[in-house]
Amino acid sequence: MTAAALLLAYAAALAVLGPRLLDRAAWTAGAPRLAIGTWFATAGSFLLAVVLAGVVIVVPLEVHHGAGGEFVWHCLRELREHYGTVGGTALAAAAVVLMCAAPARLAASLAVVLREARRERGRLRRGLAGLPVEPESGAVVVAGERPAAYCLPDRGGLIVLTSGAVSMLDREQLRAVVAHERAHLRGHHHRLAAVAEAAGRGFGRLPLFARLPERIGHLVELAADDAAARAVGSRVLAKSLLEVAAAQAPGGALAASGGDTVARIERLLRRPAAPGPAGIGTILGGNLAALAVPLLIVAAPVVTAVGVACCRI
Amino acid sequence: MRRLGELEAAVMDVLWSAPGPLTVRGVLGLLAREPELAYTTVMTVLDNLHRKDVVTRERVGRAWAYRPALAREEFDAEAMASVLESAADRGATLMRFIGKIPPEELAQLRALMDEDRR
Repeated sequence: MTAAALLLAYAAALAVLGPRLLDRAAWTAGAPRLAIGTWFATAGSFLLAVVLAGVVIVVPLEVHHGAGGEFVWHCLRELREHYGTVGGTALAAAAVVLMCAAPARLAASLAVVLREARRERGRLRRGLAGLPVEPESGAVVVAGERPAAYCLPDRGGLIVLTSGAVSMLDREQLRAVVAHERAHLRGHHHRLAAVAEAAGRGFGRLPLFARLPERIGHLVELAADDAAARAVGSRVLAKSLLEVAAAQAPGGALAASGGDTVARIERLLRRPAAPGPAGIGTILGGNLAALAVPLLIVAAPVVTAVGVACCRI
Repeated sequence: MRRLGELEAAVMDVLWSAPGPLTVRGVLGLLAREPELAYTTVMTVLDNLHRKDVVTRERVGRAWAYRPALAREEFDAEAMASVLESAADRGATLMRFIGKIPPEELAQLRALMDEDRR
């Protein structure tokens, strides 16, 4: 039981403290892609810990004498002593739920998110078919005074500009907007957003997952900004963002996509320092450690058990 | 918002197919609907469409005559902009260039931008 309790405690700590630590980390604005990786590593580590907690309860319960060789039986008997000896179907059922429920739930909500997105994108594509194309960028132009730009993934991706954006922005600014949208498509950002959205829908009661969709949404905007800034310069991009933002209807609803525009413009003008090689190493090491902890909690008794079983034969 | 309800779409179909402006009576006569709609219903729909700037109107005698503000193709293209907008509001289907902007922060950002130039 110790291992299961440890795993669940670790998962709970990740779910509550993980997002707080990540939100406080100053390096995330300077290294958005690394931050995306860290959010997902934290979420993945949580799921791994929960699934393994189920496994370590189930495995000892399922032991049957003579099921395998003598060595395996000794090994499993040792494991049983370490992991717990409490029997009963209730526990087994709870363990199976732990083991299967989280991945099943994630898979189910991912299926829903992807199906919805596919249907809606199909609808949008039909609506956009046959509309005029801006020659320089290949973006589809829809009539609309308010300047806006979108990208529609799948099938090579499609960039959409409103006629308001085309007439308001100069050539360079338009290039910045298109470079930003292209970066989304090239980076497959919609996939990251879909997974985050699915995890948020599946486990939204936990702070880690409740914040995931919005944080990933913002971080992919930062990543796309970086790519566009490399192509056209961060000042031009900041100017385009500001121009487009200024032309929006005041008091508009909070947007699900697009990230926090104010933070993005400030970041482009102030250029926060990205972590150096040592910093990147530390962050990657931290991610690996977060993923390794559940495995280590499980592995410790296994190592002991194998050792003891070897001695007994 | 530029999206039309079912009844509004039917009324617009009539107006787009008509060679010139139509009064409420005229729209009612061309609307092939069973059971026939009440005069006041069509009047309300046209009034709403006028308020949304989808149709324009002019006095013809004592009645209003309505005509579409945009050709059907133009209207469809423009409706697409609001469809995209609402899709982006809902979630992960498509990505949008910018998101939330509290208006009071714009001035601040402009100042920051000018400062940066110096």
